[in-house]
Amino acid sequence: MNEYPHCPVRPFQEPFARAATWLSHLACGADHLRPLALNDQLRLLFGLWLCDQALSGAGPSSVLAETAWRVETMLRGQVHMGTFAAADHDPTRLLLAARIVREQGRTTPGVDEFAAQVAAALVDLPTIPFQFVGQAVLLADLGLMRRPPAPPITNREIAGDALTILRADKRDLRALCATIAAATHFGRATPSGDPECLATLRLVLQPVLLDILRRGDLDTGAPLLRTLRYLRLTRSRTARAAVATIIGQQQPSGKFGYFTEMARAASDRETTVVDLDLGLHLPITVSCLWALSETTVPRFSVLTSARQSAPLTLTRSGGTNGR
Amino acid sequence: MESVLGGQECIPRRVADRALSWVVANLDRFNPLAGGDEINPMAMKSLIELAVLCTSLNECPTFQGDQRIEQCLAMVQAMQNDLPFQERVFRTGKDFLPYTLFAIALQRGAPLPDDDRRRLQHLVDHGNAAVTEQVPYRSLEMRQVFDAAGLRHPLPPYATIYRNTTLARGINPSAASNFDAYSLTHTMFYLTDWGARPPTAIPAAHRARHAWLLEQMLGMSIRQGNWDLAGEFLLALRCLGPTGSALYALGWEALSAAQWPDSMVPGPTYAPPPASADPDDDAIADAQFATCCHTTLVAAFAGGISQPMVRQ
Repeated sequence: MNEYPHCPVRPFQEPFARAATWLSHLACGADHLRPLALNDQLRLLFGLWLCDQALSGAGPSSVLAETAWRVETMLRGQVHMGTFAAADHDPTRLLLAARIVREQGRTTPGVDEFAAQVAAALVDLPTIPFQFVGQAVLLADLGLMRRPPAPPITNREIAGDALTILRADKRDLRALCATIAAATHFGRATPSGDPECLATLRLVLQPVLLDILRRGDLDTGAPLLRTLRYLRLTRSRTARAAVATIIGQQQPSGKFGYFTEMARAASDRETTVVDLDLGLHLPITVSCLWALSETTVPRFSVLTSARQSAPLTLTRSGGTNGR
Repeated sequence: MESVLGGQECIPRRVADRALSWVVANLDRFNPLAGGDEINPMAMKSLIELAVLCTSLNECPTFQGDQRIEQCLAMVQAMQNDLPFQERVFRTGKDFLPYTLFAIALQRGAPLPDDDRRRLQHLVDHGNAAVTEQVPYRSLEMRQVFDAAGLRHPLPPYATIYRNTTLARGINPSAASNFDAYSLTHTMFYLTDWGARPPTAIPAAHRARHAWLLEQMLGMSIRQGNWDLAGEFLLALRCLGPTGSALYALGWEALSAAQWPDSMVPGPTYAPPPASADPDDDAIADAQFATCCHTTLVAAFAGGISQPMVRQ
């Protein structure tokens, strides 16, 4: 329910439909002054997939299929040239991309090997360190290892009392969001751990999120909104207010955020529209779409999909023989 | 009267007690006439706030009979006795509000003397105080002052004015401006006569959402280090009703920690002087007073009325 009746949005499909249009336009590359890098393609892939999931009644997206093909082609080319470096990319983004590309009937050379290596490193550990639990969950989803148990959240993980968290800076907040995502398996597991600790998080992360959004910081606000979902606060007034705010930051074109003034204030007088689109709007838009989809699409999580992919399996040689 | 009690539940009282001691130690700065015949507007504003504070603290069991309040009221009385000030009020209608607030404070909870009330009523009947256009929460202020002074007026009931406030309409806190924030807090203050009466003008069905909004704004103020707003939201939450929430307790913990050793609470515009500055420089002391006085008074207020009040 939209508690803010002045928001003239047909909840909650319109933001995804508009974003899909913008992402499709970006994917076509007509306006680009430079070729899209692999990171851009991975973000486009994820964003288009999120829109596809949210608009599941609209039928499969051809742009998503084409983007999956481009990702496969770029990866194959980089692997062939020896220029692919998994360390240059966010591991979560790589592993999510592997799943999405497989759903489209394609492969992810380079990423598959990376995934196998990480799985091989983690599978024999008696306890998976907290900072790798998120990756382990995604690897389990790819069929490369057993899903690890959801670790409990204790004071050690949140590293501070209520006031410390309330006044935490963006870097610490993003680390906390990653911790909670890992501890809850991106929302699939009920948060567990010290009850006081969980109560503190549920209490103070709400005004933190609202204040972050009040400052126009979608980059930190979007993961915080997802975190509220992982803490089972989707129905809270705070989550609804945050959703309204984020939707309010979507431009008519479909991209999220208004950054021209900020970019110019950073003294780069040569910043072009395309730089802003690829450098700022694209990552922010995808982050917002992720938060909105997990908060507003019923029963949706990035770890579930309308179309299941074939799992990756390790071959005797240690490679993978996915589709 | 120094507080010697400790413990979590005494934090508000301790904050208020220390803030009140600071006020008394700096009482000369609250004198609008210290510089001669011209009224110092900054000191006048501070004195008005002090008068309202004294009115409320006089109704708190913890502070009733406190000599520090009497010292503050002596300063208020001195201003009230200033003939040019009085004359300006009745000649022009200007300063009607401060004059009335001073009169209320000086009565220490008793009704205004008939003569005073008649003179003020004459001003209300024949001047613009009751009819000047106002934003809703300012209308609530006027209504609260008229009622506290026992004056007749044409303003609508609290519940009617309330319906047009930002608080009643609901606001997304992540889009709230400072004006919105102050509107929210002051709406609560005037609807409840600074916490002296329950918020009967607010429908019961609204209160849960108001509690959420005020608590989130409190949390945001703490995060911003805006102790002025934090104090006001603590006060507003107290005005709304029972204050057993964890965020309310956290707010007091934070405000108490923000209070300096000399008992001042820094305002949002406070800027520390350069390291090379002379700490005895009057200009620095003036700047500190200008940027911290209001916030310190708010802390005293919020801590003072956190205890049950006499008048129900």
